[in-house]
Amino acid sequence: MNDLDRRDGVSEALRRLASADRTMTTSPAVEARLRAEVRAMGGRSQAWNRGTLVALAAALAVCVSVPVLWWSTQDHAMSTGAPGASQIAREATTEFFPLFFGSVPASSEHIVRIEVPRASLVQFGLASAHDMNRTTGTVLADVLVGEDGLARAVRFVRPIFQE
Amino acid sequence: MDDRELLEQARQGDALAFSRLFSQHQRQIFHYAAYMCGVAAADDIVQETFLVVLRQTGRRDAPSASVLAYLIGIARHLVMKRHGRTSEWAVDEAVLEDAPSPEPSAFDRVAAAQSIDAIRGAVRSLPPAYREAVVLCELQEIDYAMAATLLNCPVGTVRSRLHRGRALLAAKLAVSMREEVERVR
Repeated sequence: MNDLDRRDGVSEALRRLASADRTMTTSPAVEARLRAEVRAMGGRSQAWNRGTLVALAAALAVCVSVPVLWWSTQDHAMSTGAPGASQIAREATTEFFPLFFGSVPASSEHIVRIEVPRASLVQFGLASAHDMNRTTGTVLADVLVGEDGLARAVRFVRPIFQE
Repeated sequence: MDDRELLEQARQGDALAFSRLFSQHQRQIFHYAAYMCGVAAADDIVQETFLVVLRQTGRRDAPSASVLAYLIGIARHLVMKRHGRTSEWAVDEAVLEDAPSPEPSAFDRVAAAQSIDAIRGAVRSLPPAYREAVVLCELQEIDYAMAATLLNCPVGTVRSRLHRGRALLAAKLAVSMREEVERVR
């Protein structure tokens, strides 16, 4: 028997095997699980969009709070026009205050800095309602947002300007 | 919509695109996985392979080879991870090139007549590197260039592994047939 015969024998065996293997396929359960995963992905995607809205809504909720005085000693400085970046020496920040979705686990988070009315400070106990009628303008806030777009926490930022 | 578009849409969570991508390629990935790490694990490998795709939500890069090669590449990575011992896959290519084929046997002629189970068993008993070449190039009919990309080796290496794999297969089938004849006697 020569090599050609040998190859033909093996080739024929492999052809038969390939043909028989056509009936072998992934179990339907796998496809079902993967389809469920795709549906969940769609859900997560929608949740992200909802989450983004929620984050914005949370920021908006902070924004529409009743105006109060925050860090009254800085009141004048913070409402007399925006200083140049070079004038800002450092920042003072509050601790992070948990928001509605603060207890939802997040694998990663990032901080979004926004401007909110001083009124926002009341609901976090940073200013009293007594001062609210005397205060206008905005303050800076860092919103901690999860990868799902849900806002977890907020802190307030006070720039400290150079003399 | 071609394979690459399906892949991109599937990565974005498009259920229809994913379904089509899965339907088109699951069988070949299953076959590859079944030969490389057993039928019991093949379902898991297929599932994990497509989960990898689904978790690439931020990726938009197209595979350099075909989508099938890309998917089998993922499956291969998972299979090797599962084996845990990559030394099993190591092949001394220099020795391989010079390795003589087994002596022709009278039983080679009847190799084609053996039962499917015997042939399948013989393929599964090949060393992983040779088995992989046989499965990809003979059973999956993937061309040598694509197999070389998948296996991350030159085309010549694919050819030599395939040659050696076929020779080993012939020998195994011959032994199997001899045993069968003995048993019948």
